[in-house]
Amino acid sequence: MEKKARTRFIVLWLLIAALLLAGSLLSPSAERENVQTAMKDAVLHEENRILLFPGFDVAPGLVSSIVITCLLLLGALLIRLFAIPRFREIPGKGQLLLETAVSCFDGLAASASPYRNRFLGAYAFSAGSYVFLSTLFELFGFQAVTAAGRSVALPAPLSDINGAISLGVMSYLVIVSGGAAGAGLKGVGRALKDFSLPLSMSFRLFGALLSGLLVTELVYHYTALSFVLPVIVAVMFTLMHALIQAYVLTMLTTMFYGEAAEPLPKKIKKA
Amino acid sequence: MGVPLNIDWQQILLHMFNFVLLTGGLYILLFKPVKSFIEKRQAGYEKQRADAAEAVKAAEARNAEVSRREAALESELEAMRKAAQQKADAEREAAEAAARGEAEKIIADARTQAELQRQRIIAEANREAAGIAREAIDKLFNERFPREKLEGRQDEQTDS
Repeated sequence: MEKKARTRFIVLWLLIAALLLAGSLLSPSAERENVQTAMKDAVLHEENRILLFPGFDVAPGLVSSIVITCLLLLGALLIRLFAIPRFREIPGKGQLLLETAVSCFDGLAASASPYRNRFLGAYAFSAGSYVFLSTLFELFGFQAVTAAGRSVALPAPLSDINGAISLGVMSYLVIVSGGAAGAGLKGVGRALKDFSLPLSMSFRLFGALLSGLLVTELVYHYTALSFVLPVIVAVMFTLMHALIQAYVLTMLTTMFYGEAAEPLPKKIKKA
Repeated sequence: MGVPLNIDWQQILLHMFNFVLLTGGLYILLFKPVKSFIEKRQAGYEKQRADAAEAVKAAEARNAEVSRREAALESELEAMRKAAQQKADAEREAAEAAARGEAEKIIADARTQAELQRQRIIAEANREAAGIAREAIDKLFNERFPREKLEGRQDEQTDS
């Protein structure tokens, strides 16, 4: 009897799924932008802009960035108010996660730059968290309405060239400031020697995240590709990028900072 | 669209502003408190480790002191044992000498007593022998010279 009921449930479940699949494939879809336009817009953000204030429209990436910043700061505030005062000597799971995140970035900063690494640890923590969580953000598919009245899913902020450039340039400025603080003009010179660094860091981020966005865009553009495949694509282009890009950016920043901030050797006076 | 890829300096600055706010906020709200907690805990562990190391050091010093004292005690005990042995030997020898003297005295006394006893016995025996002899003489005398006869003779002599 039990076996019969189970078979009936499976048959019913598969039937409903098949009906929904057939319906989604056969029903006429609403008119929408073609794939070329969608992909061009994913790179250039000319079409789908969002009104931040009346008369001031921005790319969806900036809106994503603001939303993530607000969410992160709100989460940090809640953790500061309710979780950190309850920290124990033997940590629980949440405390362990936080401590591991902080120790990981702080340790990365300390190992790459033995000098002046206090600020660097904080920067690496912030940049790593931002890159990781903002990349994961696109998985949630938060919707926003464009200035043209179209609904778009908010993308990862770093898939916007402006977001990627801002983070690349910020990282480079941190490296230059570390050089100035650690070795004065010589340190600034060391940092400026790698003048291609902001460009490479920006475009590495942009390229990595844009590739994920484009593939996802392409996959979702065709109904036939919208089954099963997104699970693999999402894991490959979102989770992996989130981890890899957070690690690469923080690692490069701390490494170049360490090189630039190394104090100059003291001159030995000749007798 | 002057700049390629729609690079917009205004939006870059907005992103930067956003990120600076985020960095400051995360530093104040998360990074600093968590790091100071970790450092405080680490300092506590370091202190515990230092205390433990100090306690181990003190215990080792105490152990060494105990071992040293134990060794000293061994030699002290040996010396005490020797002294006690010497004292016991001396006391034993003294006791032996005393016992020997006393024994000699007892023997001498016993000898004296025995001599006196012997002399007393001899004197007694002599006395007894003299008594016996006297009795025998008296008896013999009385037999030879009975009292009646003797008295008769005496009377005769007296008469004569």
